[in-house]
Amino acid sequence: MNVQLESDDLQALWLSVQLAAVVTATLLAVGVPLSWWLAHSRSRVRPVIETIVTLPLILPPSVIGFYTLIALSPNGAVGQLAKTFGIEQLAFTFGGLVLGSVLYSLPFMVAPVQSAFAVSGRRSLEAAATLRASPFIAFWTIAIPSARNGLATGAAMTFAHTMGEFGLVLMIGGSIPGVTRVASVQIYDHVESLNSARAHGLAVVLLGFAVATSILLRVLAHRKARE
Amino acid sequence: MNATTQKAPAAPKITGRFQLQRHQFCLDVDFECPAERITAITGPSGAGKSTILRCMAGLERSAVGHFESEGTVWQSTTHFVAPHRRPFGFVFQRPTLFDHMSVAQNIGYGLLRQGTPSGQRERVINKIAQDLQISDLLDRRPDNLSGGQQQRVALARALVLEPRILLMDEPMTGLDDDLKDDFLDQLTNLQQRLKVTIIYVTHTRSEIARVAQHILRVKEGRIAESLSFADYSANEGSAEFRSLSHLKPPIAPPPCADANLETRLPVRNLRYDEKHKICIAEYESGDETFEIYLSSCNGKQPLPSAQNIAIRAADISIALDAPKTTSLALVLPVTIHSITPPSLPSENVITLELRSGKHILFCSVQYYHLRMLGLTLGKSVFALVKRARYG
Repeated sequence: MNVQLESDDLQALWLSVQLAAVVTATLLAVGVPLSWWLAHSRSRVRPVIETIVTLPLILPPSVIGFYTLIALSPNGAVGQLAKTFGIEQLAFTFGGLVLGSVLYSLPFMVAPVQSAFAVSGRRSLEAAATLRASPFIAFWTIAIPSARNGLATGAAMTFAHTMGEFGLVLMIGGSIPGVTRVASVQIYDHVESLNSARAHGLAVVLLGFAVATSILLRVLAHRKARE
Repeated sequence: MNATTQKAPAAPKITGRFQLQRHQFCLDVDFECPAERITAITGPSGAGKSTILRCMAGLERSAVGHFESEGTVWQSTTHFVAPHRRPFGFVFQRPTLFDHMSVAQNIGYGLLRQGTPSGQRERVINKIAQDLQISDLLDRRPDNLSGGQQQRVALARALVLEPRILLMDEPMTGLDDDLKDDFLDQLTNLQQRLKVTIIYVTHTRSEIARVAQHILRVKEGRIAESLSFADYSANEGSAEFRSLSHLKPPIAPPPCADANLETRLPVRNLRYDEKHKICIAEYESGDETFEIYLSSCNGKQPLPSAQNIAIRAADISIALDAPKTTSLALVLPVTIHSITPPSLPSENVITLELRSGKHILFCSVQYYHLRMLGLTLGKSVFALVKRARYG
């Protein structure tokens, strides 16, 4: 079978990588504090938040995409909010894609990080406190390094998940070349236009990436088990 | 011991009052103990010993009350000093080392937070590691150390900061006996050298006898008794003695409550005195050497190679003063290490463990004599050994 990659395929791939990188970075910034709170809070709203965070695992991507699109629209809640910051449009933009993907990949970051924080527990932080470490210092010198495997797992899963995202991206972003047409959408477009050689080219790259990620996750799990 | 000197009005103190409600457990304590001394908190499991320690360290944020030491208030109704700002050390029951750091990094963690310069850090780490015999572990990771080694690292980590108050939650868990001895000696030395206040949770009587200068007895979340060690060991009314005077039998007979029990002591220079026709051995305890006159030895058989002597528990008597000239095999100054009531309520023989240097001798006495001589834990007495044989 013919395998073919053209410049706009590479552009779509590069866009996927950029999206995955931005989403992973955003989720590290947002998901780590959230995971921390979920692992340590005794608040009554915690189960509610936990349920909301896990929702994207169960919901069809098109449902999330649909509601995100409504929220992002100029009259939607997020759209209105964006306007006050001078952002005219979110739907069908790269920014909109990032926002939707962050929501969609949230559980993939939070679950492993939260369980890593829960395992390392309160005790080592208490020990750090009795050794003159402020809560902030203890978080950076004890909690984060102890949870490093969970963080790596969360980041790898988020990145891979965002690379392979399709339904949600199509709903929010459509298929604007160089802006929202990521690799998975490009494959769909190639198949639609019966260009299977080029669909094949992209699919092979994504397959290779998935295998590599899968191996990485196994290595991380193995390291965690050994500790 | 002169109890009045300890009650001088100027003596620095630690006072605390904590209330904490958690699930089924309610802590409500109000206590006072001497600063720059070793205080033991003792009591049954679940009585709240560890929780009091955690309250002192500031690790129980929901505890209300007041805590001050030597004039510094760490907690009051309006004021709470965060745990990391208290110059305390805490040794947890389980070591809780940082697995992602080497042993040296674990010990240096607090020094780093304190801003100790790296050269000095290395020096003090090496010094404390030497003291606690963990020098060759410094480059290792905590997760492949034994329990005892981990506990020593945890001790080193707390001690290296030279805390004003050292809080220890059963720190001997997982240490073997020799190490316990060394550690208790080091703890006493450290306390005297640095005048550090040590609050020490334990339920081992021998540890209390070895180190405690003050005792807080906790029961069901309350302070049942607070007394100096002098009172604890000398006062007939102390709980220790009361529990004995009821003569409640333990559920299972302890293995040592047996008059036929024997003690073995290592000796040297076993020799036969031709003129007086007697075997003599030397026993070393601390810096002193004692001569032991052995029975059942007539010089005709070759002297045994075994360098031990055996003494039956029934062949030891206790005296408060040392007799000068006797026909005894050995007179040995000892301290009372433990007191075990008889296994059956109908019996009245009590087993004592007597401590001489690093050795423990078993001795059985009548309950009557225990009472008449006022024998209590930690008391210094003389063991009069009637017969000793090699074996």
